Amino acid sequence: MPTVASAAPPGAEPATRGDVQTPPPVAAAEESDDGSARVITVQAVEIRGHQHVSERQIRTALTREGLRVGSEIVWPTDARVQRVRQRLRATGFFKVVTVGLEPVPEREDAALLVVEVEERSTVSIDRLYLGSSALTPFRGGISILERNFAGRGVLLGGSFIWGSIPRVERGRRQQAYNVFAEAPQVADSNIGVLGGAFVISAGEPYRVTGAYDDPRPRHFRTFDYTRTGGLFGVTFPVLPQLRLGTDYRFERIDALLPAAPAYLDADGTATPVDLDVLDGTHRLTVATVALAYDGRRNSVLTGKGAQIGVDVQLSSPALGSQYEYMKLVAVGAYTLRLPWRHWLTPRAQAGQIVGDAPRFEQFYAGDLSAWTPGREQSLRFSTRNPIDVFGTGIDTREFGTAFGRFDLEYVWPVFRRTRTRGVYGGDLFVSAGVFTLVEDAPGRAARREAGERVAPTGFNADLGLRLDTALGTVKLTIGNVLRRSPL
Amino acid sequence: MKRRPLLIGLAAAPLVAFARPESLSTRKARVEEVGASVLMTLELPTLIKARDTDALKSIDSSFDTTLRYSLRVWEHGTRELITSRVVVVKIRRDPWKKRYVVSTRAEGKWTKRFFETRDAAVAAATTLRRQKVAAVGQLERTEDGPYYFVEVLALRNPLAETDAAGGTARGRGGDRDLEWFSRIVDVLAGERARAEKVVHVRTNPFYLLP
Repeated sequence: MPTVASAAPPGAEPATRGDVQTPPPVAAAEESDDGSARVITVQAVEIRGHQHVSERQIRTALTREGLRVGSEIVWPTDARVQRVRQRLRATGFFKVVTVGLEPVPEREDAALLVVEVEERSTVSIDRLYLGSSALTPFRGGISILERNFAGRGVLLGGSFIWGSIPRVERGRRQQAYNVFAEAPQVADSNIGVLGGAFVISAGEPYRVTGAYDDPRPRHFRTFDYTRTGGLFGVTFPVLPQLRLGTDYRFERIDALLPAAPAYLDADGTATPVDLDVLDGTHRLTVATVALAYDGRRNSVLTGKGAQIGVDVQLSSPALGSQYEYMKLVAVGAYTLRLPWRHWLTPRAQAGQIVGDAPRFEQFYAGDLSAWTPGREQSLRFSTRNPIDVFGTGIDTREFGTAFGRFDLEYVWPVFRRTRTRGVYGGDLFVSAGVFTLVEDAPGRAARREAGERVAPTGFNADLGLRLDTALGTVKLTIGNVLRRSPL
Repeated sequence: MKRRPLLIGLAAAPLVAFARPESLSTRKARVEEVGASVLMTLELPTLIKARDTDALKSIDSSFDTTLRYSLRVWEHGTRELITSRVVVVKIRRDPWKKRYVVSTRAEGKWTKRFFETRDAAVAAATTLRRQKVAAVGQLERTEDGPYYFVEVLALRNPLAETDAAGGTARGRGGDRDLEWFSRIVDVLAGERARAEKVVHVRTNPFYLLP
């Protein structure tokens, strides 16, 4: 054996010399395929192992590939079989999907087509509410989604959030409960229906003293209101990737407002505070039209995909409401794959409210910032405003009637698996962007008078790992930590 | 250790970690020189694990479970690709003859082997036995290298690129605040999995005896 050179890499071994006459153990049958293919007629289709998923759903997947009683299959390599497996696996309902043939006695040209599935739980955790703030020492809750209720493809969800007693004078506990259901397809039609109900018990903080950028709870008081209501609606697929939805939300609001809420500035001057909620028991009804285009379904194949959403809400006495306003929110995102297979997503959002929307329907600064607690289940558990990176005064803003936001997200797919439990995939991501929030007309006038910016600019950035798991998407990000910490 | 090399090392660590193929985990292979061919024997049992119910049921289903091996020979340390080959192995149970069949396609030819037990068939399918990876003439033969290794990318049931999503709309619920709205464009981008199972390794370096 020769000496291995000094620069040899660790573990380097010489190729041993075999017998020249030794034939490879591979025979040399000349066949275009492996020579076993033959046509088998499906005599019957049998589906085994399903419990919650309906047989109809599985048969639909088979039918779409033309696999039904009487059809012919090229055994053992029919591409449709693999496609059916992929199609069924992609639903996320199954741990194991097997499509096989079982011989029929005394027939070589016919067989039983057997689909055997092992279901996995279709319950996922949509959101986990957990955090602490200077205002509310603890808040916790969970949002759970069942994606295939009763095996009919019905989405059924429920959520709750519960906060401890806030650290303000006469503050009450905030909590919210919400259930909803959506059937994306009713019978064989393409129309979907949805409905839901909720109870929200809020102790909304409002500032009474201190500088506008001072988040300490002692500068705040709260006013209480309870919202009880529900919604129902329908959805229509205009195009395969374009859905139109419309719903009607109705709620009863019991609000207990302070007699004369006022802000006392450093000079001792009292300024009345408009809480933007009617006093006593009253109604809010909202009609919504939502248009959603999701072209990202094929982005893995095409390397690009757009997503557009437009949401128009109208509340009017003509609809039975005691508020009158219109709210428009639009969002657009475009995802593209870079040559080195990472993904870039520019995303823009904007919104405008016309009229007198209640405070809980207005745009909130915390919802725009990646580092500041936003509203959870429509409840505000923190008095912290966005961090003013540019020195434009964004940390003095809470609510507004218009906003704009632009983000750029860079995603590095780290791994992707076809596992049916545990972690399916993980992405590292980094994002950066800017946003602005504009107050209502009196607020804008006051800002102009004080020589402040009407539309201050805030900065957003985030960095973290996003895991796609059997229980849902888990984000381990810097922003997530900041939003949940009592800073 | 001095600070500067340490900092450079830390800064380069992510790049090194994802550089390919040198960064792949190493699997011991036996390399032989037989006539004008370089043959490799390598076992990849993790491609079909004994407790992988999905994989085993797929084999027993009577339809083919396809294993696709991409073999690329690199010169060690130079990133020079010497040659590449693809080997396709199909494993299934024949329900009529009640036996397992392992078909292998290499160099454009199919061969078949038959087994009584599934374990034996799986072992055969997940082992590249004396598989040609290069011609001797493609590799250099000197006293001090060069050294070579084989990058092996093994896919079990490579996924066809079809739109099999068929998913449903996201539940909207009663909560229509901005925070909810922003989440409808919460992208979980990324790559679709290439196969039901992927094993990507490199072999230990080897060289030809002078």
